[in-house]
Amino acid sequence: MDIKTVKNELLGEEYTFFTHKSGLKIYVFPKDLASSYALIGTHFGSVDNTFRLEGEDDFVTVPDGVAHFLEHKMFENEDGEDTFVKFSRTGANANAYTSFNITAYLCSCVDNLYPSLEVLLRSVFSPYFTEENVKKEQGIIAQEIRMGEDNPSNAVQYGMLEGLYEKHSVRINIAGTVPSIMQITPETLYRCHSAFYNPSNMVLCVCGKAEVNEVMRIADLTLDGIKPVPVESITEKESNKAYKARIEKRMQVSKPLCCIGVKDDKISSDPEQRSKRSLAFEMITSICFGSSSDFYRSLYDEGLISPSFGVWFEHNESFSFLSLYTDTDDPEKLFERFSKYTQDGLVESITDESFERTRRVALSSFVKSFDSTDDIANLLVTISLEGADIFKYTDHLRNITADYVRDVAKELFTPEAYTMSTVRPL
Amino acid sequence: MRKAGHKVTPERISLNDGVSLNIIPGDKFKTNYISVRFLCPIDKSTVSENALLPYVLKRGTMRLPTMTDVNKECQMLYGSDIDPFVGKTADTQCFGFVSYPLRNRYTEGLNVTEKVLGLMAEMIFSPLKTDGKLCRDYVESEKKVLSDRVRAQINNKTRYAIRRCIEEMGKDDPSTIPETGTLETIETVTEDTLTKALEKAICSYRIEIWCAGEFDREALINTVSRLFASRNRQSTSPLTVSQIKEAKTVNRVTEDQPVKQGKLSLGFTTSVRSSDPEPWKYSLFLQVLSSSPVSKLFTNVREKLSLCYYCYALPDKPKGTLVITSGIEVENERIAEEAILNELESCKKGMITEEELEAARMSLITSVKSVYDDHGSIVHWYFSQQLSGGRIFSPEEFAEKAASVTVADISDIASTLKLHTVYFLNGTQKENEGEEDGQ
Repeated sequence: MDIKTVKNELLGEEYTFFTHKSGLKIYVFPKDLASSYALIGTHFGSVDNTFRLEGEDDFVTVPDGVAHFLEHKMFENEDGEDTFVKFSRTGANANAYTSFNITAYLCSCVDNLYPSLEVLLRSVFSPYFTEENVKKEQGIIAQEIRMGEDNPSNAVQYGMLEGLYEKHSVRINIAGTVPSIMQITPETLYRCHSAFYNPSNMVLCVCGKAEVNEVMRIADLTLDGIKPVPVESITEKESNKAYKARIEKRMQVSKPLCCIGVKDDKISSDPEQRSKRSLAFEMITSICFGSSSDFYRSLYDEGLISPSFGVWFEHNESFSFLSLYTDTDDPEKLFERFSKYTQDGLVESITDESFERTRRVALSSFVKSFDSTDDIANLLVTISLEGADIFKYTDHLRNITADYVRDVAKELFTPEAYTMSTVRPL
Repeated sequence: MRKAGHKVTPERISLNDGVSLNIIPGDKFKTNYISVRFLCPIDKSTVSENALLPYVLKRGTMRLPTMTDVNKECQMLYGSDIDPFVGKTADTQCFGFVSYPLRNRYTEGLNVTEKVLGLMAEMIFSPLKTDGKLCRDYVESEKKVLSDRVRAQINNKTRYAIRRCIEEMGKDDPSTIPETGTLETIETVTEDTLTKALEKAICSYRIEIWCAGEFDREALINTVSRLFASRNRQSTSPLTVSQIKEAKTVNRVTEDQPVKQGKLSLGFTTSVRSSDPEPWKYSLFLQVLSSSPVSKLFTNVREKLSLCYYCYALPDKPKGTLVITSGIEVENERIAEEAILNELESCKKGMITEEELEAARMSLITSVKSVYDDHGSIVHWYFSQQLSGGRIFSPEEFAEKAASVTVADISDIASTLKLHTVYFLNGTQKENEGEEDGQ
């Protein structure tokens, strides 16, 4: 087994990486804090709803929300004892989450790291689904979905994705809908589990007071005999043209909420190129829309945006977009200002001076994420599942130029790529 | 490897009447922590001014007159945002600034921490003024932002249902005054009143400065003393906490809103306070009821009865109130109320298994020891104890004491809880209402 240790001078940190014989990629990141953190993630998120296993002819589409449903069910065991009960004996806190691209399971503890890690791995690789336990979960998840549906800021952000994408499954709510989850059966869950919960499709990071040999021992103990199962997942390819110009909803809100989306179709197949483009997105976000930009100040002074104003983006192998969120009295006026600015003034705001300020901010926010075992494990697993390397990000930070950021901005902001979603008062 | 979680006790230095510097040394993190906190009794006549102050002060200083200037300076200090905040704990309003500057070894030679402290002081002592008054445009603009924030409280139903329950529990109690004030109190603020409020805050509110991380101790004390100690101070108002009385009959309030999910909040009073000589007993009770991985509310109300996605208890420890809240199908209101009360009743009767108790202990110990893992948590740990006026315990002492709590102790604590108010937000919207309309 090839075990390598990678150091980063800037951060003063190092990790050890190896691929376990089961195919599981494992990172051990030593950190001298009170709590240790273990996180295992699979490359299976809400967008992966159409796939086939090796030897199958046809792709099968599963009900919306299945990845998230599966996440809820993984802590139930054949011995009738919930995984939370097992963790309660080691004193670990456990949780799980599902995003568009990944599902992750985690535990954090101050003592008993290895017994906790064993509980975590056994849970994730031992599915146990019955008619009865699926039915019980439908009630719980239905309430989670209702809670989300009553949340206007969720509604406006999903609206933005519905406006950008016509067919790509990123337009579907991660948790699905109450009717869609009612179609989920134990068979659906077993099929998804065998397809995506294979160690070769997964990454584990243990961060804290962890030693490589012990982590390997637990992996040997829990992953014995699992063979890789090749799976092919497809998502719809789309151009950078937004599907709809406007999406409007009405809910009980105090004033309109608004989310502008910008669709991007320049997605490289090279993970490090994507990582570099992500950094350019981060810098555009800060230079062109951040609180030190003239654009932000003029809109704030006019009362067109509030401190809730934020910009976020996703850039991964499956989809890419940038989006602006705020509450505002006049969404159309805001959209007009956004359109005008992106065609005239935005690229010019990326000066050498604003670039240097923002480079420092990006450096600082990257360095700061190494202050917590939780952040480190999440960052490492997410980046690794994307195929990139966490420490190479420092190289991108060192080598990125203002010209590159300007070039990305020029090709990103084209009016046919824009949509605006609003939630207005009833 | 060096032992993590080593014991740190804050050093508290009195700089002036009611002004203190608290230092927690440590070099575990890549960042330092600095906050300046103003504390005063929450009061309708001053609440909105205090809530506006940090936001208006951050808009501009005499040297850096615009928001853009201030934010650019923060960016050059390696993204050391200085965040304004306003909050309350029981009957005390707390507002000020907080920042997490990078430690010097990561900043290519710049002493960022000292500069951030200086910039924070500049916002407080040298904000942009015209004719001796705070800038009118900034005051008006931040009033609008704050008013919008107050109106937007209706957007988040989970928090709304908790807040409404607390409001119903203590109609004239200071703790129910929102930390922002109301639309009416915000409207009365002018640049005149706000300028006076700033003077008052500087001269007569209690000021707590917290610095955690790696500092040159002497230099830090000198800098902070120079900035804060030379002012003429008047005596500070004592920070007290009033009691919410037990309800003679349970107060029931239902409110209709056009949403899909119902929100149930049960409000309780208790005689236990955070200043209690043995606060770990209450903490352990909360673990058994709501926080541990096998808590009664999670295991029974969510997992066994499948009634909800979330159901948890939210204590106001200084005040002696507790809200248990959940999001449910509207028709399950009575079933959920009964199920939650049953779990509390089990605690009162001491129906707690050895396994539940042990899980609660371990979970509490994990969460208590984890406070060492970020500056904000360790500062909050000591700050909240300081404010409650009881004895101050380190996380280790607390964890050690928690290990000896018995079922009888938990039963005693549970028995102090008296149901005061049942608030129900009744969702009136059906499936598919309010759906999209695309173009």
